[in-house]
Amino acid sequence: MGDIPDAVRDAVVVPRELGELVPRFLAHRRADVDRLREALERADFETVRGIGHAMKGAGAGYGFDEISTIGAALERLARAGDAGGALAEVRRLRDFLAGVKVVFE
Amino acid sequence: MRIALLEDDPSQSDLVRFWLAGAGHVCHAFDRSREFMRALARDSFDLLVLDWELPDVNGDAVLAWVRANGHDSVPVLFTTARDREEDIVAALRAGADDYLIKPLRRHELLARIDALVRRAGRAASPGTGIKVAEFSIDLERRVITRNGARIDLTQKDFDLAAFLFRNVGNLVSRGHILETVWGRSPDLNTRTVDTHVSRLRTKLGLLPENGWRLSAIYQHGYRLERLNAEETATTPAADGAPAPRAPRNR
Repeated sequence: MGDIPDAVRDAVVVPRELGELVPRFLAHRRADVDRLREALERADFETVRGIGHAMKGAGAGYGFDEISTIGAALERLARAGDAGGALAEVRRLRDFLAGVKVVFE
Repeated sequence: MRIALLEDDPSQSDLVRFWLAGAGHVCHAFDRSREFMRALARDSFDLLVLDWELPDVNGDAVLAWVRANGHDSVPVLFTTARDREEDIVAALRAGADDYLIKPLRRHELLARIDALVRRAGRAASPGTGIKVAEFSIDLERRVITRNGARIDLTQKDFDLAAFLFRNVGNLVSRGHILETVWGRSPDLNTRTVDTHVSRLRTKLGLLPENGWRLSAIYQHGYRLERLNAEETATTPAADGAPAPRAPRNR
């Protein structure tokens, strides 16, 4: 955890009524990390693009703007066939999920 | 409102269903286009919410299917993470009534749904009434009149009448009627709908000689239609008999 930037550890404030949905949402994103790595290993950029597209669409709706931003970057990098850039975004996603603190208000 | 949602991403689907339920809507969610189209072939909804990128058939093709298969009056809201101007234009030109770019925002989504349904004349707003030909329905006082004369109805018959008059010309499924008028209850079956429709046809005189036809459509549901003068004159039956283009199921 020592290499996680402070900004990543910032709390994400989520409406209290989403309390039941957020754990499932985050579990899906953790599964995305593995799916993205596997897709990049086989240079399957269409799968990477699709996962990024879905993350971009859903993240901010739950209050996780960072996930939408990472998703948009993944979609763009996959279109460009940039495996190195996409892998860096996957690490960013992994680190975000490891450090994120959710506060329900 | 009864809303069909086509969305393959489970997180997005969870969120939209949660928001819609919180606003009092009944949401039927589908994660595959073919399943969605099969449902639409046998059922009816007040509004459709379509995603664009889907695993089997993309949303634009689904939209084209919807418009080509007799669902031209149901409002369609497109929701997608595609934000290029040409995508928005393509969806609207393909027949979408509105377009929202993801990430969705709760209040905006709900407001757009309300606006679409209101424009389509399918909204149940208590402050306004429904006036169709000789019938006037006061939703606030729950009174229905025909040519100014009040017709006494039970609560459920009134709700059914209001629903049918909001959907004049539209084919509405039994499931749609059941959910809207009775709510989701496992104890009820579609025969309840048939019984009440039959009673309403008689009580309101929704008969061809009065310029109305309330037809049972085989394997689907019902359609309330206003007949033109020619249809009224040439339709001999006085008991809600079948329309030539709309086969009855009994």
